[in-house]
Amino acid sequence: MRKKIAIFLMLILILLFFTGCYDSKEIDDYAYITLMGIDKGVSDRIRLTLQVPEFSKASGEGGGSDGGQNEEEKIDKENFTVDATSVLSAIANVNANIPKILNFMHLKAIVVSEDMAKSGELGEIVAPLVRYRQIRRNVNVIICKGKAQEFVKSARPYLGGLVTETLEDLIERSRYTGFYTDVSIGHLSDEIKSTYSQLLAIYGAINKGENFVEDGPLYEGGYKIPSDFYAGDVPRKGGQEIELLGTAVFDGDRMVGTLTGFEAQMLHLVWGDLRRSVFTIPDPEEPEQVIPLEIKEFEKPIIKVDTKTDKPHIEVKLSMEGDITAIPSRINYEHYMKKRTIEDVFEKYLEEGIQRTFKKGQSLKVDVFQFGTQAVRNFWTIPEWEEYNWLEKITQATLSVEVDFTVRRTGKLTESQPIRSTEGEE
Amino acid sequence: MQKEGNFGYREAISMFVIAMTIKFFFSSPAAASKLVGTALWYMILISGLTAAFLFMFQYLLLKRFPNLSIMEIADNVLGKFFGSVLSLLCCVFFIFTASIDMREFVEVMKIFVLPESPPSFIMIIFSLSVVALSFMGLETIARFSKFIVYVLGAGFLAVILLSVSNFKIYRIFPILGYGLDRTIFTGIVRSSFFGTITVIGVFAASLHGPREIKRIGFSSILISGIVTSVSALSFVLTFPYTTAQELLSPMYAMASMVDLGGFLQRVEPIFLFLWNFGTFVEVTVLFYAAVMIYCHVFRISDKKPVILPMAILMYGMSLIPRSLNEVVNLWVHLLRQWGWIPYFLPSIFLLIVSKFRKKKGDINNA
Repeated sequence: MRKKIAIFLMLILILLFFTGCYDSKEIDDYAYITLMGIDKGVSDRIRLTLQVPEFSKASGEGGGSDGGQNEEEKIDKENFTVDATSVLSAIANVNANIPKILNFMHLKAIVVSEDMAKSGELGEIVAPLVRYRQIRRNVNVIICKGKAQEFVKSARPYLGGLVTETLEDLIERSRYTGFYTDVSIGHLSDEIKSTYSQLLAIYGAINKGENFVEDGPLYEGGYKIPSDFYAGDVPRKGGQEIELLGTAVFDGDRMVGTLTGFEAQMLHLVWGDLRRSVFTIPDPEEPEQVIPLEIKEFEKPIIKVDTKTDKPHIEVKLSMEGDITAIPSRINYEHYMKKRTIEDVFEKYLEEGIQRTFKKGQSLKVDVFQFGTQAVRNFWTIPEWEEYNWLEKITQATLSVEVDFTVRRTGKLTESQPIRSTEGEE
Repeated sequence: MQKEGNFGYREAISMFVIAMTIKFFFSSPAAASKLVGTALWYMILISGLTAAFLFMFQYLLLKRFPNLSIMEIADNVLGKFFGSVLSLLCCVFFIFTASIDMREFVEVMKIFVLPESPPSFIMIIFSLSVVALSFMGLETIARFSKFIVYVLGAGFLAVILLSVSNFKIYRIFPILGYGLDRTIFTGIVRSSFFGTITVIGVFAASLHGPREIKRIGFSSILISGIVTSVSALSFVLTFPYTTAQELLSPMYAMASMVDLGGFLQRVEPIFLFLWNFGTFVEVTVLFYAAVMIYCHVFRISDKKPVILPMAILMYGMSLIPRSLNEVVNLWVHLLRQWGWIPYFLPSIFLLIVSKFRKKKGDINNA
């Protein structure tokens, strides 16, 4: 009898292990959203665009062109746009019209239109998404020029692969180029409430090659700071349509301005997280020529913030080293006596770049360099710190910058011989 | 004398360390962060020191009455009636704490992992597991804890180490949080965080005398204090104090943010493992202590018939809060803020009365 009862109880217990079968869902019951775009709506408060790429092939290829299928048709099928009151109501609307359940577990980035960001609604519409279970805190946030709807539609995988991979790689590039600041929705939620710093986000745009002038008079305008552009303004043609360059700057949850790619590089240099990057400076002796330098940090930046008065003073000391990668003028800068000229020019170049970026930040009332993270060390308690109100004090702050740059190597050449022709030496 | 099984100090320390530290993985750090801000990590050390100080009175009491449990000491000092009343109050407190902790666990699980499962379903499965382990007895609970503590320790270390890339030193400033006075006061009041150690008084008869109780008690508080303080420090370094106060489970959020080079991410299942087994041990320890007290008061020698009804009671109590907010903002807050009274004061009270009435245990028992 005991044995029979035991078997009976075991059978009942086994049922508990099969509870998952009752409302089980297979992996292909879901439609995985990889990109979400948020614009201001026309027929309702927000316009939400969701990209759901087709992961059809065993090789993992998805979101790209698929043989005979019409590309336009495929893009339309993979991108839903809906106007709704909130993100969740928009999702409910889309869910009602597709045979799969939308899932955000693989969401890679949230794209917010500049209009939406400037309206100060980020804190009401985007930041609350961290509360949603399926959205991870490390989903990236991109602020885009123009419509987020178009940006999402234009995001396609580059040279095969997945769109998520393409975006991940693009965002990862900022560690090497420093052209924008990586931000996730978790950081967004932290920064808009922070007393230390303000929100900086990736700035993106669609670049279809309109800025690329195919024919015309040849350029004779002299030296231009490379990458001193905003996303969408780079004179290029071909490649990815979406372009990430520059940084959107926020005061609270309202976007108040943008930094160019060059200015974003200045931020990374001061933060000490630019591993290796290329800068191009004008040739000191032949200003129409340029000298590209590959630089890297030699020592961590030293930042001191004096908060004894209401007008804080900030001191930044950078120590860099680098290699000359080309000398088009063939002036013998490799020589140790001449090397100093390049070093001085580059030091001044960075000092001016940092000052310029700092002043731009101050004009926007934003601590773009996040010096608050250093200033807070001068305070013992949170009430003292909050009373000082760093975010307000930054507008009155003064900055002094000192850059120490050393040219370590000069590439595979130790000097440049003149070019000889029938006209003699050049 | 209620002696149950035979286990060493390692098993006991494992059991108490898990039971104490697991609470930090839920809403406690956010609530404490609201009170002390960036000073959270050393506020916990203050709580630990206070708990160790308060536990000393229980140790002195157990030393005065060697090899007797706290219920037997209560009977001895206050007489059977008043002793039973005090014991029953402790029993109610333990079962209530277990039910609230179980509900908090279930609600958090529902938010992060099992959004579609009814809470009662998760609670029934959980309660059945507690019942099954309780049927096996205290020795099994202790040995299971020792078995699982290494796995939990490894998981905990993995989560902390993998989160290092998200740490930012500046977040620890201003170092004194909302003020040193507030930190010390909150640290003292929240000593209840380590209050589970007083359950040792219920299990005292199963341990090898006052010296081992001293060793187990203080070592458990020390280890738990260090583990919790390290968790708090990593939490403070990961989230600015303004955000830290908002998060339901900061440690889970930390685990979900791990992303090393794009290939090592989504490691929160490790954390789920910590959650499940840790809470399971904690709730079982409190539940079993309540069963032991109940059986002592009503002189029931076989605990098995009591376990299932008691589990139903625990399940019922855990349904009292109407929402997660009520659990976190009302009940868990009350338990952390005032829990030190039911955890530590009975022992102090008994020690004073025993001194006053010159009651002492049999020294030969030592």
